[in-house]
Amino acid sequence: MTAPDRVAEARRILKESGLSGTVTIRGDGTIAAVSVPPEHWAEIAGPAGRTLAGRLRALGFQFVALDLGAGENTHEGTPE
Amino acid sequence: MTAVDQTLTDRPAKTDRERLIALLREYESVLVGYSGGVDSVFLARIAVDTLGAEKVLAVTGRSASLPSWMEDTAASVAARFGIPWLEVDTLEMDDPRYAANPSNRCYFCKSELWSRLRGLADERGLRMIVDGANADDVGDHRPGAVAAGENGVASPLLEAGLGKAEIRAWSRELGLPTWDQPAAPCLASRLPYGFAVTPARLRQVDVAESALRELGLRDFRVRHHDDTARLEVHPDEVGLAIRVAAELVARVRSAGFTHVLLDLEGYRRGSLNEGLDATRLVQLRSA
Repeated sequence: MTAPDRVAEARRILKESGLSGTVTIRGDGTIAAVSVPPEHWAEIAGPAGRTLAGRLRALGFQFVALDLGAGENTHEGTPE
Repeated sequence: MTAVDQTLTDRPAKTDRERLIALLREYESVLVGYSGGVDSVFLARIAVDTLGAEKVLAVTGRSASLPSWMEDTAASVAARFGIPWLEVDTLEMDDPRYAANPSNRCYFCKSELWSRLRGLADERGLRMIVDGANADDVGDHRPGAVAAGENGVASPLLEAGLGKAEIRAWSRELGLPTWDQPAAPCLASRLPYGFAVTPARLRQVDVAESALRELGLRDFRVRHHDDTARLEVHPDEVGLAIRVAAELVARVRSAGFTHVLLDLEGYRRGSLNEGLDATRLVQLRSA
C-alpha cells in the first residue's frame, strides 16, 4: 500500500470511529499523526485511542499518535 | 548493627538479601557503575554499608547521553549517604560505530564506560567492578551486557536474584529517595535505531523531558523523530498531559521540535525495540 493509500485508509477508519479529523504521516514515515479537535482529546487518549491505534498500525504504521498542535496547524491534512 | 543488617533482621524473606550481602563480602572491595538510577544507587548504598566507604567507589560516566536530572541525583544521593563518588567523562560520541545508532549501540557505549572504569579500579586497587543489572532485566535487549562481560563486570543484584520490586522495597526501607524513581535509561534510547546520535539531539530530548517533569509528569519518554517529538506518557498521566497541552507543546517546541505528538498507546518500555527482529536482539541471561 502506498503512503497516500495508507493515509486515505487511516482517515476512513478515523471517520468510521466517529471522529472528525485528519491523519498525517510524520517522522520517517513510521508515525500516523491523528489530528482531531481538542474537545475529543480526552476520548482519543483513552481506550478508544488504543483501539484506533491498533487498527492504524495494521496499515503498516509503527506508531500512532495524537497531534497536540492540532488546531494551530489546520493546513496539515496533506500527506508528506 | 548497620542499617542494612537491621533490614535483614526485620524482614522474613531473607534469602535474596542475604545472598547479596554475601556476594559483596566475597568481593571485598568494589567500584560501582553508578548512573543515579534506582538499581545502582541501591547497590552503592548496600556496598558502603556492607564493606565500608573506604572499600567502595561509585563512578558516574558523564556524557551528553546522561540525563541532567540523573547526574544531579547521583551527586545528591552520594553526598547524603556518604557514598564515595567520582565522575569520569566518557567519549562514546566520538566513536562512529556508536553515533551511527545501530541496534547494538549500547555495546559501544558500555565498552567505553567499562574499559575506563576497569583502568580506574586497577589504579585504586578495587577488586571488582559491579553494575546494577537485576533479575528483572533478564530477557531484555541488552547489548551493553556483552561489554560488561568482556570487562569482568559482576552483577550481584542479578546473581542474588533480586528483582525491581524487591530493590524498590529495600531502597524505601533504607530511606533512599530513588525508591520510587521511574526507570531511566540513557537519552540515546529515545532515538530510533539508525537515526544518528548527536549531542545536539540528546540535548533536545533532555530539555524536553525536563520540561515535562516540571509540568508534573513522572513516567514518560520523549522519542526523537527528527522534527517531531513523540511523547509516550504512562496512562495514569495522560489526563495531566492533555490538561497542560498548550504549555507542554510550547516548551517541547522550544527544545527544537516542530511537531509534538502524544502516542495513543502510551509509555511502553523499549518501544523502539519493537521493530527489531530476533536476530538483532541481544538478551540478558539469568545468572
